[in-house]
Amino acid sequence: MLLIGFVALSAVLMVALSHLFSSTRPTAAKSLPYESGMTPLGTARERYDVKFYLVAVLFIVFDIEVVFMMPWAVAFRSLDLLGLGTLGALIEMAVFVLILVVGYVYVWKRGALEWN
Amino acid sequence: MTNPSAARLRERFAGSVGAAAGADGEGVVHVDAARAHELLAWLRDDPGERYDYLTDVTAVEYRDRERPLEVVYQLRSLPRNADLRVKIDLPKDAELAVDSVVDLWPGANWLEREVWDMFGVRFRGHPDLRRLLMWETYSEGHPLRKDFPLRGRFSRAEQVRRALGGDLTAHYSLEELSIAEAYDALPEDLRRQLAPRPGSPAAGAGPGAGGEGGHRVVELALAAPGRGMPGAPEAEGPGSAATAAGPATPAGPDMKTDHMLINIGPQHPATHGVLRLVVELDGEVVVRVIPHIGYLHSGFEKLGEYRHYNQIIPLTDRTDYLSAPANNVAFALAAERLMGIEITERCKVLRVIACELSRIISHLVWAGTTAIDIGAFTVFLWMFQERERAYNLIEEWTGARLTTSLTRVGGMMADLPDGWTDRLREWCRRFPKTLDEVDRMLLRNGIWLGRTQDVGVMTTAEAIAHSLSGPMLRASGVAFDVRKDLPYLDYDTYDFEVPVGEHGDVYDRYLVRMEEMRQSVRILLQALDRLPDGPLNSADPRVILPPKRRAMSDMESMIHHFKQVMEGVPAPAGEVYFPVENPKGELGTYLVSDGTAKPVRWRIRPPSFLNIAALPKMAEGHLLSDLIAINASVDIVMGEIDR
Amino acid sequence: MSPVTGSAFFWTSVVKILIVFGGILSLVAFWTWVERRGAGWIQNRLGPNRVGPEGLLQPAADGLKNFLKEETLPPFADRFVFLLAPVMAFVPALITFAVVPFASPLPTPWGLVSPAIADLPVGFLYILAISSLGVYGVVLAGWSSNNKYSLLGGLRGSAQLISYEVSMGLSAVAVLVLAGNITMNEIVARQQHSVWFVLPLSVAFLTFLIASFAETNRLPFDLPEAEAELIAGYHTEYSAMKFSMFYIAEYSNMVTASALMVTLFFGGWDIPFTAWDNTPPWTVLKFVATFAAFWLKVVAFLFAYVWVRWTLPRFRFDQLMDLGWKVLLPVALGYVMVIAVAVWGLGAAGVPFGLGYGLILTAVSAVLLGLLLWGLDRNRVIGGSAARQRARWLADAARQRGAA
Repeated sequence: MLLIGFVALSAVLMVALSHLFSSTRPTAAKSLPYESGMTPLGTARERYDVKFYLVAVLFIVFDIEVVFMMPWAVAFRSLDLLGLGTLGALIEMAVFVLILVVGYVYVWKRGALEWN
Repeated sequence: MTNPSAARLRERFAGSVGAAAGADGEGVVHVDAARAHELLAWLRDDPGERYDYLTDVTAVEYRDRERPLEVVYQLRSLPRNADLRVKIDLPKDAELAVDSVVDLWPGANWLEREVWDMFGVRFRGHPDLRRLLMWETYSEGHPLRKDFPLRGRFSRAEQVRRALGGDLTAHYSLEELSIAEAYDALPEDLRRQLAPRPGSPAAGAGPGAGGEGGHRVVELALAAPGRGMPGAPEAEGPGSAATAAGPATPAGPDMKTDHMLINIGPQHPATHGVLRLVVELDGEVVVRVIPHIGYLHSGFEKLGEYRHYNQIIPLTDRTDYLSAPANNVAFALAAERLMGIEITERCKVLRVIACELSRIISHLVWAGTTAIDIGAFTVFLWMFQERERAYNLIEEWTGARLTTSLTRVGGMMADLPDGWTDRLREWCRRFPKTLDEVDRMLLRNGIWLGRTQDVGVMTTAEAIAHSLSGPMLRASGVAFDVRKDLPYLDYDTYDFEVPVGEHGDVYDRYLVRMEEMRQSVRILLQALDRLPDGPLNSADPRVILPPKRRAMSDMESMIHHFKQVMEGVPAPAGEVYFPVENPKGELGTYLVSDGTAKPVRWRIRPPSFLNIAALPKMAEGHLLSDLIAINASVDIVMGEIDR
Repeated sequence: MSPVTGSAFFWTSVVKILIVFGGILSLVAFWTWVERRGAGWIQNRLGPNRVGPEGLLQPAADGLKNFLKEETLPPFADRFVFLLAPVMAFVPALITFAVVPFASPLPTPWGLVSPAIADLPVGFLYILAISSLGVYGVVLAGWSSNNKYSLLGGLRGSAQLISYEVSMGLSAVAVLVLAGNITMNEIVARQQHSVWFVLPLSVAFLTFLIASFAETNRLPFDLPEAEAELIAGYHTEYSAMKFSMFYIAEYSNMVTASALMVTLFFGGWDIPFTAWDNTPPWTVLKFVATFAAFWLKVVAFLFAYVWVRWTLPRFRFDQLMDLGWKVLLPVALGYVMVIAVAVWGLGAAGVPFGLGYGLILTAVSAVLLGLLLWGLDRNRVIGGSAARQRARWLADAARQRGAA
């Protein structure tokens, strides 16, 4: 917590200090968004490819999976599930991963991972 | 000797074929404007003619006001290795218009646009007849016409005022402005101007769609890819374009997104100068590329008409400034053929050395910048170090690094300094090792292979149709090299190979150019071996300045000196097209003389101009990163493209 | 000796923060110099050598310059987000390091000081959580600039960062299976008592290494700021110190990623082939020695970053996503299961955790690694066939437009 506060403070300080020391002389040309020296046509605030949202959704799915796997991994060798000891933990995770793989294959087949 | 094609033409198109002439194996045929398109199509398709390659399209206006303006088509038959020049006479009192040949050779697209821009000749049926080198709102006329003053019609201030004009959208073509997504962001008046008119003719299908340069219908833009290509779907008839404006939803799970219109260049790290590409992006996919050139337009061809032949040589430095010595040689060779001057043996060998050395330095820049565009920074610096060493040699020889002005008509500007050949030999020995190292670094790298293979493919037929030349053409599998097929400077006596690619992709272009550098080293070593002693310059006192001492002591020499400096060297009336194999492709020098010491027309057939004109064809449908790689693989230099 | 408590804990923490924060910033500054001199070395040239001895003061000069340069605040940008973005990039980059133990415990008059700023019991989760925040800096910068290059860079950056985040997490799961603990100190301790995990978990290390290059936006994964394509990508519109903060964030991320690889796979502060350094009693000498060992390993990885940057070309976006989702993700996932099976088998066979245990797993992983590298044959996975597919797509689109 201390660190976060400290680093955040210094970050804000950096922005503020540079703001304080620097000179700013805006001109019309300087104020335009840079687009290879041409007047930009239209705005950058457009609806962009839905693929990027798709990646975000997939990320959530798989990242949560990772988070689920972590406690399992940590406790793996001392788990005793299904009355089979470690094997039980293994089987349970195999089932979990299998479900995940089914989803992964589906996503792949649907072309969500294609970027061409 | 006239070209046999001329006789066959006369036989077939009796009455439409006028005077035919020939010099040095070149054939020139004058044909009727009305039947020119039909005739050119026949020349392309007839199995006995097969002029499948359009080398150049240009125009000539003579100083004699009575003479008609000529539109010149320089044709080549690659399978028969024959050239033919077809001319159309356009009397100046009639409308200056001919039928476009873009449907026969897509490569004619930019060439015809340039002729329209520079001479005001309208090409009927051209799909996109806009100004090319000058900006779209340029209102001073057509600069290469003889009634156009060298300084332009307007004052400098007026030019700037008109060019900018406070209209921000003036930098965009109507085609770009009309792209549907950008359309909403336009001011009201422009939107009204662009609004689709019901019942307007379909995109580019019929003649006249080009209309006044720049005034075009909005549907054309929406009928997107394959524009101007023969047989493209959009040419199917009226109505097709109007419906194309609707959502073209591809099958599968896809959702409509806004296309982004983005400028790549002129101020961009990867455009190798002031090339500007307006790119329409769908996510990362390049839907369309619209190149804009002319930011470096200097009017060299116009300037040349006001200069003596030797005075033009410094201008050639500044066209393809990455291989100035080769340009100097190309111009000198053309002028010498025009004047009928023989050069000495030593001069020939020195010119070969100049050409091959510039091929290497040009390819080094290309390899380095391509690598940096694909992210391999180190290759760039390794290549530039070798280039610096080569430039040191050139500097020793010419006193300049970039703008060498190495040749004179009839000879060379300077002979080699002492010990130079040994230093070149030493460099030739070491330099290929750098190439090998770069090859090891890139060709064994999966990322490099993935970035270059199958990217920007031009098939053999497409490469020929788009009039590509040089390494671009050879990478697509056409084994045409001017040095082998139309030899000059005794190139036919040198032992070297011409590398030819198979796939026509960025990767093959890389391989071809790398191998060309190695072959150039071979040629350099052979040239050094055979370098004869003897006089450097031609003995003709009319074209070669006498030594200073003689000019000051000998009356006759002084007269020659005076006449050359004050009046220049007159060339007999006539014309010549002289192609040479420059690093970037076929550099053609087309000189027309009316008997005076200044050319009537000095036309440069710029290789990278034609190569970059095919960029939309190569890049559309690829990703943005590929566009950069493809653009790099073309090897452009804006000094030459814009001239 | 018992760990420090109470106010002593507070003050030691403050000192640790100051040292680590200052240390990382100095290392970052130093490393910009190393990178440029290293580039010079690789490219047969000099690099910056004018400011101070061997150009060592160049980073200081650059930093000062960046404080004084003109600031641009594009009027079209979203001002608040525009200002927030560099902070959002900067803060996570620097605080991720907090849980990494960088030496053996240090004895002081007030007790034993833990070598990490915060020896959190959920150490690794903390890292995953905080480093994911870094993506906000990129996305917000890209979006708020109202610049098309920035937007593209931001989109690329976000997709890339989150894609590789998954593989990174999965390869770390393999480590956790073996370590049986999520505290960084314990992970180090487990390696000290068997072998460094890079050997038994070589495939996980490979995926982790690739993912960490991608996570730090370094070549060959520098697509978000690919200068040949997007000028400067998501920070095109930034100048002065705000630009500098992105720069510092990138290098801090490199330091953190290197430290993570060292901790997870290279035994952390362990000195190899001796047990002297990891057995109590703790002395100041041991602290210094292990401290040096740790940073030596980190610097080796940092150098690898520089080396790779000046050697490899850049990926294309589809290749990048293919590598992340179609190669690294299934490999990492499958590998976790293989390791779990192997651990179960070893447990069933009654092999005790230790050197032998590690060596058996090493053999298993070596076979898998060989198979993987054989399967990753260049140009089969990272191939150019994508272009053909796109050409087909374009032809289809053209046909449809024509038919409509």
